[in-house]
Amino acid sequence: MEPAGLDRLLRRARRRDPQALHELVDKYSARLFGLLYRLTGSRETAEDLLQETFLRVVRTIPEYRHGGRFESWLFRIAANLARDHARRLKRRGRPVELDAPGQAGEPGRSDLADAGRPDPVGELLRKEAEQRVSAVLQGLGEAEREIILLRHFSELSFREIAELLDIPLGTALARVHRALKRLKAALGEEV
Amino acid sequence: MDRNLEQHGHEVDRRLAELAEHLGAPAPRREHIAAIKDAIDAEARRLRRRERRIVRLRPWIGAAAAVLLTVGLSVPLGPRAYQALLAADEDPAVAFGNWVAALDETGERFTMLFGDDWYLGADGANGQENTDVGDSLDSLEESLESFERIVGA
Repeated sequence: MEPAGLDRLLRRARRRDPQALHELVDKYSARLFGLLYRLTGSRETAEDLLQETFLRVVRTIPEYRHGGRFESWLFRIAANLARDHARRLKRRGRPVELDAPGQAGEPGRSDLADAGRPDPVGELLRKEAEQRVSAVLQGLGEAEREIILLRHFSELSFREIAELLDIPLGTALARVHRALKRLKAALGEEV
Repeated sequence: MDRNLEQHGHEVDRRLAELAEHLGAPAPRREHIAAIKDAIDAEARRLRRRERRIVRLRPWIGAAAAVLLTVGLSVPLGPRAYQALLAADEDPAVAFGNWVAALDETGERFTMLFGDDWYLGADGANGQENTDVGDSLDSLEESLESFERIVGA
């Protein structure tokens, strides 16, 4: 969406125009869900947090002042919710629960996507790789995981992500570099 | 320095792109998206209602304060009421705010009283004026009874 279109959409959303809010859901829910799913490792949790993200948008959007940073604001809400969720789990001494392979649906696809003819072997390999990635991501430090996933799912630059997380750009890049090495090692020959 | 960081950023991006296929995630379910839209509609309605109520109440705060004063002077207060008022008397604004909130919680009557049904336009014309004012006065009485219950009179 071009900036002027987003400006108009946000002006309507600020008035809590239902259609505008629905458009925001349609526009951002897939990427936000991806981020939340990868941050939490659970479809159910990601769904809850996605809904909470949009509810917070509805509550606070009149105070949001648009300076071309809407995505940064939106993804910050989602990332903060995921972080709060992780802290709550930690306080209760509960480990992060990863969905079993295939439980969450095929990576990058869903009932929203066209169902092509599945390749059973390819699908199995993909699911195994997906679970390995989930496990490695959950094994990374919270900050490393956040940076990688924010860069992957949002359209924010590393500089914007560093600002969002309130860390220097060099620190952000060093963290993501380390995390990528670990991810790549975990995935072995596949990449 | 900045250029080095930028180059480093490009390098990290290149490596991240190699892993992009593995970082994919399932998309949200259609029914879940529908549920989110329902939830935000409900929340938006609730917030719009609250904002409208605040706008309606604002001009009436003074009048309501006068009513409160009248009630305070005319209603004989029992010992419990006296205690309640004592507890709240440190900050009359807070006490009044609590009372308004309590009235608000009694439901739609208070909203109606200060709402569109009773509101006279700039030209003073309102065909339902007499009926609505009567209803509103009933509402006022009920609201005052609520107030009396709150302070234990």
